Amino acid sequence: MITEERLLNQRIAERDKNAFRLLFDTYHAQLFRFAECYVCSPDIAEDIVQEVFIKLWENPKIKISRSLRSYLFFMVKNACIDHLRSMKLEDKKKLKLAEAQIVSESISVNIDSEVSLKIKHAIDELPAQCKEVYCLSVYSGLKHAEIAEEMGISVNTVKVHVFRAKKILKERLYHLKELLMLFTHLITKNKK
Amino acid sequence: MKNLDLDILRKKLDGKLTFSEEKEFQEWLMASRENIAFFNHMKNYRDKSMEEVSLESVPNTTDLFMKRLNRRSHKAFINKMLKYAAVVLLPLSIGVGLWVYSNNEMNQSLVDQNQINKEDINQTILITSNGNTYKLESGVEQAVVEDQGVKIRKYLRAGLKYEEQEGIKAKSVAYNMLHTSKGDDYQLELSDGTIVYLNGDSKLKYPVSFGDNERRVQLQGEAFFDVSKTGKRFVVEVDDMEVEVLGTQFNVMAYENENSIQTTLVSGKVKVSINTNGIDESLMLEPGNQAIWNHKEGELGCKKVDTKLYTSWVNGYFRFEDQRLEDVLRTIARWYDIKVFYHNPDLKNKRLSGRLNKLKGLEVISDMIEKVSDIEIEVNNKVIVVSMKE
Repeated sequence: MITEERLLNQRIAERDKNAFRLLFDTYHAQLFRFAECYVCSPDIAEDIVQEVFIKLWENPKIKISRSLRSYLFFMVKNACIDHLRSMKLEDKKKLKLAEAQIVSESISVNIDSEVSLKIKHAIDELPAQCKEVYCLSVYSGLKHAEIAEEMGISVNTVKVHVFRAKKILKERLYHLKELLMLFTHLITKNKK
Repeated sequence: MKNLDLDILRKKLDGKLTFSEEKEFQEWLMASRENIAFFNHMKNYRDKSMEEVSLESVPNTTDLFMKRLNRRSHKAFINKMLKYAAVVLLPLSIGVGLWVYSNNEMNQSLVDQNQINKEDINQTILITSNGNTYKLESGVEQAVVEDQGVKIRKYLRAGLKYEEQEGIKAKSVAYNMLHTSKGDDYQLELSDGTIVYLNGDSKLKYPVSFGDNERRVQLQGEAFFDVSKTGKRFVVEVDDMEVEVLGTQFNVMAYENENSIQTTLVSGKVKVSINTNGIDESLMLEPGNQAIWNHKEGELGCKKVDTKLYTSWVNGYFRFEDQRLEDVLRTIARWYDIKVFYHNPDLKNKRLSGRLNKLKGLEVISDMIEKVSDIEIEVNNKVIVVSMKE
């Protein structure tokens, strides 16, 4: 996976349009759902995602220290935060960031280590098979069909588990007092 | 006003706001229309089912995005244009003698038009002061050319760029000419940073390096200028007309089969001067105004227009509003390099409105025209025949 991405990175630096197309194709859906969760509008979300890719294409010299994937999420996140700020809104408790990661199945310490850790704790409490499916999807980046094959279950069952996991996590995010407390705690800690 | 915590909007939707939060929310909501719209979007988003926000149901936009990326250099150019001050558009009739310059200085180092090979006519070419011609195929990165101490670079998407090299002063004024073929447009950046977007079937003659006096270029066809501010006059010569600016953006159209000059100003200030056959007139344009110079009648007039209609070509569109079919098809024919025949001359006076993507292809465009009118267009290789629908 890592070598693959390094190769892709190099081909993009060499302005290879096919490589760029592949990159867009690979991450578009996740980035789109991520942005949509923030801005609540498919049109604006699509715009934000495309602008980020265009920026990447037009500035091939951008130094990407971690990975293309985390760079893309980082840029989309910032664009979303800017969009909210233009409407005098702020995701103070990072609850939206957590929701966006859950919805887009892109929980990663590279996006925000604290928030991801909190979600990870919430994932640990999911029902066993649901948890296994969701972890394979989110952490190992497997496609639904690949998970189905690996676990010997149908693709539909995989989908059901993923939906269920996302639903539970989203609800927990907003309803579990404990989780909220932890988030608030983090914010106050950051302020100091 | 302080930023509102996004979570307050969620709590509002859940009906869980405290009294003080409700006050905060109301204050935010009423602050702007965008805020109200966002709150509604948020409500709609929340009401979506899990399936509706699954990754599988995200529409695949890869093809659209790649197209957008390919058209990007054009778009970036326009956005830059519109951000600034003035856009002037100037369609004009040009006599055969346009390239026989009255200005000797302009003439001295430009190669004879006849030197251009026949095969080059259908390609966008650059002619340098020493008479070399370079084919400028879009999408092919080409070597750096040097002319009189000025570097000419060709970029993959950005087009041509002239860079003055420090310490080297040109001995004499050298002129280059860019000649675009039909159906091709081209972007170049002059040595003073002025950006010119040249439409298809057009010629622009310009010095590779501007001297200490005014900046002067000559145009035939159509171009959109983003003139850099240097404090020196920038003049576009078009036949017997001059457009003068001091650092602004404007568009000039001067195809020989158009019979009037139209100078359209979006914003800023531009001076249009005519000096021909004893007529010596000039006009300062206000934004949104269009000056019309009818060369044959010797009449100069002015009217208010929708400026978008005259600048849409830069964005890759043909835009028409209540225009005669003959005018519409002449513009389209110029881009696609085709000839138009009418079954009945009355057809020429039919009126059309609409916006067409010029990259869509002639078939698509003729289909669209057929759909919105009672005419039939038969496309036959390089000829289209217009008749009434039966």
